[in-house]
Amino acid sequence: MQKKYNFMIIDDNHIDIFIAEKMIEATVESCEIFSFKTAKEALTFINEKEVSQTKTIMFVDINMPLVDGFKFMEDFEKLPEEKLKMHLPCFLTSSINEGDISYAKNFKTIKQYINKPLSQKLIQNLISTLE
Amino acid sequence: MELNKIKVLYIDDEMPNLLGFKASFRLHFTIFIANNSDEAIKILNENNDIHIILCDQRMPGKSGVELLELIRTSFPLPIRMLITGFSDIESVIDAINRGNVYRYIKKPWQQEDIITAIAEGHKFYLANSLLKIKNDELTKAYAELDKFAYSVTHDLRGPITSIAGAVMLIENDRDIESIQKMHVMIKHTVEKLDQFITSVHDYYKIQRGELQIEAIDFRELLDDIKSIYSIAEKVDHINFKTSLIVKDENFRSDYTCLKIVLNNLLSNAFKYQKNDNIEKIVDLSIVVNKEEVKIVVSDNGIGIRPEYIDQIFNLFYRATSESLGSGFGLYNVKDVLKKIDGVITVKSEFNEGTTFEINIHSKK
Repeated sequence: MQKKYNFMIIDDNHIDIFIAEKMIEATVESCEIFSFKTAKEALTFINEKEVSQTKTIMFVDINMPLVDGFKFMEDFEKLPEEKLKMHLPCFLTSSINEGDISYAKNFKTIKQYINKPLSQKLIQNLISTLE
Repeated sequence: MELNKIKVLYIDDEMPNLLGFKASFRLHFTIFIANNSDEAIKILNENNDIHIILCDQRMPGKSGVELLELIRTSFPLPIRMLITGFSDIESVIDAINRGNVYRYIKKPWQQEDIITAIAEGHKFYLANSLLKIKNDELTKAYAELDKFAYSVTHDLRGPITSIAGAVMLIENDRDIESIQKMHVMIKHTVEKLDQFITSVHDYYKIQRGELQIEAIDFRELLDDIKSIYSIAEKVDHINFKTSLIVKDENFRSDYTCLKIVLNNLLSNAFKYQKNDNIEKIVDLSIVVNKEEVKIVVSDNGIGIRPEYIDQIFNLFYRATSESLGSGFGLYNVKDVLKKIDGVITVKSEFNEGTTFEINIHSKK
């Protein structure tokens, strides 16, 4: 697979970040991965970074302290259009709660709601639906 | 309850009837009278503990049934009874269906009938009130259960999906170093899961358990605690200082509750350390006085930002992503302290450390 996407992981749990990084590396050749332990750092990064030519697939955890995934998405969706279209956010969560699943549908930019653990198959599926 | 504590409101448009009623029953019950609906509502607003409302059916303007129906919407608790001179079956059916009345009393009334009706109505009132209290408690318990179920799925499922992910990685990994790294991660996650289950157990014990009040041997408690933290002390190179001053041997409380409090505060103090600190310190001091014990737990760890400090005792609140807490610990501490007559205060300087001070009264 040629370099079509970069990745971003937002998760307060460093083990889950590690797992996601490894899974992405095993599935997608030569891509950049940006990982953040807080939603705030991720948002600052997106704000400050210049719009790149490569689209970024984002894995956003929901249950995080202070700023959770939903609050993050609220702020994210207020970003200018040229930034939004280069980012492809997905929720990546251990939550199987119906409330979370239906609330997640409020965000129009969300591409997929993925249950942890992330696997190579899930990444391949996601990429094929994006194409 | 004695009968004369039962509060009865009698509504009738004819003043002689009201006065006659009051004269007949003022020794039996506490009687309020009103000769129109405005006055009746005024009395109900001023006395929120009226037990029984008796209302005459035949009144100008609103009928008794209509008035009782109106009262019911704003004052659902008092037991409503209708008094009427007409043995008109329609108005009785109407009264029961619309005004939801408990009894229907025929005029002219017999004193004994009224007394029996009121006494029985009052029993019904008490049963209803109890039911309402139980209902409110249940509603609260359900809300808590929902919150609880949500967190449990997250806090139990979270670590399990982490482990599942790591296992999946190991399957395809041939690099021994990377496998070892994941092995350590799995180990930490399992420990976290185990801690969470202990917290759930504590939570349940606090919510449902009975206290076992006994004279507390603080030396035994301190030894107990020290043995739990001796490993963390060595592995994480933390200087764990303890001091115990016992001025009175007869301090009485619940041993398990005290242990839950100490355990939670200490595990936080050990957990939220600064990795780059040259000397990591956790300090526990206990002073036992005659009526009160004072416990201070302090550390020189990451501290708490002032904007989050008001929320740290809330259920499932986490003020940091630095370490993997569940947001259970301090909630449990506060809950336990409520049970054993204790108060907790916290002082913290962000990036400098945190000090919790607890004062617990001796139980009889």
